[in-house]
Amino acid sequence: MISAYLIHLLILIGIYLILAISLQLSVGFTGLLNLGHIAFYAIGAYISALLALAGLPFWFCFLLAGIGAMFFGFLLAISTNKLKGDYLALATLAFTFVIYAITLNWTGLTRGPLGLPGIPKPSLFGFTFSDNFSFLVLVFVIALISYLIITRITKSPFGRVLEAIRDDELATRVLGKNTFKMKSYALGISAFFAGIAGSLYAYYITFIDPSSFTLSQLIPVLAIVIIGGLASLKGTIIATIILVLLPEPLRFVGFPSSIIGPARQMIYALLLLLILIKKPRGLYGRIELE
Amino acid sequence: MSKTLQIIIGIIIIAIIVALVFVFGTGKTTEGLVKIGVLAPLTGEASQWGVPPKEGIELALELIKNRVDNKKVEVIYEDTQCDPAKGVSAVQKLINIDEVDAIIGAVCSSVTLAIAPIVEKSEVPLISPASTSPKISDAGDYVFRVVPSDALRGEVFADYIKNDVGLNKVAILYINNEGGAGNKDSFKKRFEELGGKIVAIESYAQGTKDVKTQLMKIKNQNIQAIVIVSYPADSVIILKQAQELGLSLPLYFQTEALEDPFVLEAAGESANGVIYILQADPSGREVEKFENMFEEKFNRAPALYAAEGFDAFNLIIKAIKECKAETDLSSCIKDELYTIKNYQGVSGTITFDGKGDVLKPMAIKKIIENGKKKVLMIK
Amino acid sequence: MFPQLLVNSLIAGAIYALVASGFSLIYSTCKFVHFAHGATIAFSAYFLYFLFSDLGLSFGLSVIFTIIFASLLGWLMDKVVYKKLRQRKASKVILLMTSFALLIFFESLILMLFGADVKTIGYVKIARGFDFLGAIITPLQIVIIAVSLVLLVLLYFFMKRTKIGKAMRAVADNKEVAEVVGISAENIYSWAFIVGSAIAGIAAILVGLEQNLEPMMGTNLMIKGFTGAIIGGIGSVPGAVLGSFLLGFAENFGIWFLPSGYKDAIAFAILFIFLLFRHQGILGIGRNSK
Repeated sequence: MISAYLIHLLILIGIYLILAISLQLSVGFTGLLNLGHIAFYAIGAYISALLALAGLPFWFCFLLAGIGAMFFGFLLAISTNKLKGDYLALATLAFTFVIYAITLNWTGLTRGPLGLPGIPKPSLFGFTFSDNFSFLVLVFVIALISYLIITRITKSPFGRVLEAIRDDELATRVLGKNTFKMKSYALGISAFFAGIAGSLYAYYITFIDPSSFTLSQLIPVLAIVIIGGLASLKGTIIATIILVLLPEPLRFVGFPSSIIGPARQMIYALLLLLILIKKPRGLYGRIELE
Repeated sequence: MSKTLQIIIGIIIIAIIVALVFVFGTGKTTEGLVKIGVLAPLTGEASQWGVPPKEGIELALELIKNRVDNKKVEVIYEDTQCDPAKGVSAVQKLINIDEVDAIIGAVCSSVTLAIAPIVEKSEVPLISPASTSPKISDAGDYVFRVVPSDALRGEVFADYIKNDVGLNKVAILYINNEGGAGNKDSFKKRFEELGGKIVAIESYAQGTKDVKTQLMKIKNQNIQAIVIVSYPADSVIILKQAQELGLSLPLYFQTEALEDPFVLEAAGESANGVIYILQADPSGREVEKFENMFEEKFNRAPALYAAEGFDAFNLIIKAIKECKAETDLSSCIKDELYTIKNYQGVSGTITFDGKGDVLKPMAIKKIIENGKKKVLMIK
Repeated sequence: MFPQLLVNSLIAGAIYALVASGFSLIYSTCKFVHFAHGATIAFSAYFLYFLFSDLGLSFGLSVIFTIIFASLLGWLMDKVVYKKLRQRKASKVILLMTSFALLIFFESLILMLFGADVKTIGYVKIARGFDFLGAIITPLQIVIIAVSLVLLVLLYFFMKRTKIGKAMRAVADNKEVAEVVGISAENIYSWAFIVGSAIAGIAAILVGLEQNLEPMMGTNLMIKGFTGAIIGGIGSVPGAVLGSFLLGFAENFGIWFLPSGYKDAIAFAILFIFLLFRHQGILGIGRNSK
């Protein structure tokens, strides 16, 4: 039954891939140090879960998760328009904390810390994705479409403007581009994909609560983007695979049971440090952010 | 691609291959081997109540000398960090790679709820040593627990405070996480049904170390007592700060946290006079023996949920002993667990109901002084 | 009730300030978010526990060793990890990621060495505080407030009067110019870590006595300390202290009127609002959002 375990890991890779390539769009390609990605993921998961529990069909919940997250992406982009670098990073991080606090305290809507259990399995055109293999196919197709769309965006004239903004925003503005609008689009699109990743997560795990969307969930996604290399989609894919699978071999190392938990975490952290020190520009990093 | 990178990727790939070979190599020879998986938060904020059940299991495993009947018992520990997604990864690995016969876990209700559909589908019985969410009652046939649901605890405590003590106006202070909110809800519902009045409800976030302002808000109200739902670490903080602020209201803790020796040691005198509720422990030789053996192995008293871990493990072992000729061990364990009646465990007398929930008598205890406790009532 | 609320706010603010000032000192000089500052505090608090409660050293001696230990730990983090990254010209986001990895590493190490249960240093006995202008406060809490204020004054003079302090400001203002006049930036970075981490040591002692020890205490302290530091003006040590007190006041007065579950939400909402409307913080210099 090893295949069930592998299918599970592949589903996680698929969800993380959508999350990471969309973060790559805002961080790597547009140069926006966006630490609010997990908040969009949370918004998508909650919208999707609440609608699904209300009995609405999968495609509707799924799309609305993306659109809802995109709406918040635009809001965040508009409000942080003037911020750059560290300040933008901190403001978006604060946004993550605020969304977390809302999901925890707005108990009337989200049931707060009790979470939302029993999210139904998705069904499309009368077919229910009840077993993990069919769910994997669904995730794979969505991840592939997301990847193709984001690749398309980065290679389009719009994508080149985004890269120009990253490299020199002032010069881009002088050339007559509305950089504010462009940045908002980038963040909005990025948020859309984070939202649909959140929707897939909610459908897959069937249970969500606020603790699934905290700083400790942001760290692996950010690590994927950095280790993959900024503005490299190929690197992002490889890094997603590496980072999702990284904890798995550690499960098979025979530590004594008294230290098993901390020992695995320490090795995980050390491997992360090692990669960061050896490849500070990531696997395929083309650019640097300052 | 640089050399270091190739090496890193290489190591990971090799590790995976080795792991797979290892699994395929040994996975087949399950004859004469019983595997039990353990899921608990061994790191992260929840580790304070994830490590004790693991220690209880380690002790239980040692006591049966890794064997049941003629079979060797292997225990595989996985860390969930109280994260549902990590819990799902871990349970997939336990079920599909290790092919465990039964699972003990998870500790956090969020993880237990996330993995319940998976164990249900794979037909692997699971006993949670610490998840108290009322939702778990209906999580499935294969899902058991040796701690009472929040619903039960809240009801019994509300009955006690309203009817036995005769208080009508109380305030609630609770930890704003899943356990805290669940307990608060069940207490509030029952207390109001009985005609009591909840004057104020205050909460604090997990990890908070300052509840002074919350305590002041409560102190200002016209109330007779404070009902507190807390975990070990914050119980100490609440007792300490209540003492420092000179709060003279009676404190009722709707949590077994006060049973934790660390809490009593840290809180010292500030815990005197506190009343709390927990599952009645069958005082007696077995419990004493457990405590002594635990101290001998770990050099300290068993913390909260260590006894539950110990009992969950022994229940599974007991079920396995009954399943002599069965081919499908997992579902036989499940069936045997449903027949458990009045099992004298070290965490209380255990009987499972039709939903896999434990029916345990509850005890109301009071701390007299110097950490000495007195049982006021068994309900 | 008002005096008590004021005192509660001051105590909370002082604790945040102890965390924020060291963090802010390191940020202002080295220009990156050293989240693992929380790990320095947590590990030092456990070190104090080890010396005082396990080894039975005298309290005075334990305190001195703890501060030295904290300095050393911070210095080592810089020497072994961050310096290597700077040599490889790693960007800020990599350094941020690295600090997360360090935080995970040290928290797991604490867990492995000391276990998951709550530890009490037990030097100060729990007792009712004394009345002070209509509020109740304990001697330890007075010490905490006093130390945080004294530290503010000392740091102010350290930065203005001492050679190292002046050099730190020079590097903070403009690294290139500072190097031209013969200041070794690397040396100054080391000093920033030594001094900043020594403050973390002091924070560890006081927080450890007031709040008990848990392996994850660093993250929780860091999130609030960091919020205070940014509200006050990231990169300004007096600002960090001021911002921390403001945060303490906002939280405690806020939950007096709002449900107390919103305590964290209030903190993060203020952080977000500050970043949007006054991102340089209360005392920060308006250096054109960079």
